[in-house]
Amino acid sequence: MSPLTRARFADRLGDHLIQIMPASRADWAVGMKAEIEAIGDTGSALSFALGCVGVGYATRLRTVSGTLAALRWSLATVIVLFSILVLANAGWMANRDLQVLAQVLGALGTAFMVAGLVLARLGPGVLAGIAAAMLAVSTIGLLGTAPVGLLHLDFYRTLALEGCGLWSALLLAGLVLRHAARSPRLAEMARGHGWDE
Amino acid sequence: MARAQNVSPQTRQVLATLARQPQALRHGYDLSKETGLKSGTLYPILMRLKDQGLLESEWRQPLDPGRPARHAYRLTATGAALAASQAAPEVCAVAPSPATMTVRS
Repeated sequence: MSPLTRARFADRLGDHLIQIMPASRADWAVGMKAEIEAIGDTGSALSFALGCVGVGYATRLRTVSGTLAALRWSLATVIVLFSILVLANAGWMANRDLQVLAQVLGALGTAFMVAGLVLARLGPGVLAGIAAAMLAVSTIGLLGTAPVGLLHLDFYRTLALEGCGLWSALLLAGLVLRHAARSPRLAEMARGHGWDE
Repeated sequence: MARAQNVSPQTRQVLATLARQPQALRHGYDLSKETGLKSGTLYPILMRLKDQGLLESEWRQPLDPGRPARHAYRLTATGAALAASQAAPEVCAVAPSPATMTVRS
């Protein structure tokens, strides 16, 4: 990496630091950026800037909104990874000429993928809505497969049961995250524990 | 009295460095070089010291025009007292056992 590239990268990191630092620590971010700019050696400036950005994220995580954002993105990542697993399974089924199963799993995988992306992009409230709708679908599926004792329906019934559990969990997670983001009591508690905001 | 029992080795290092020139305002990068601490370790310590009233900071205009003002730090009277207590012989003579120290960096 050339010195000019290192200097630019360090400068960008300084800008990024100012963006991520919570408002209560804004002066620290400005101070760190000025420090990065004052370092003559570009390699040292880059290393210093990387550490400062780490401090910025750590400070951000110590805010209620930062923690909730981290939880939201972590959950979204897990859901998307799970959806990829389900879709891969659907592809495996399709290759073995189990078309109906493949379609059901494909639809489920797509629903999970949408739920994960929606959570990341639009927030937990919308996730709760999707989860509620999918919970209803899973419940109908569970009730619909209940009276029939055919071999293949056992699998669908299991799938519906799993769907009820997973979508219930996602509905709960969405509601809890949404409530936490809006809760003045939680913000008050966080301030009481010395968290930044 | 500040929480002397919970002072981490890194914080002790920062306190000792600042205490060497109690009146001087020191920049973050200089402190980083002198203590050998990376910025990711140094700044949380400085933030905490300031929150506890052990450190004061000031914006200092640089000598080169066009450069942004830099944050500089020095110990308050309380901070200097804590640094002095940490530098006391009974603390320095015995190497601290890692198991008994609370690292708060």
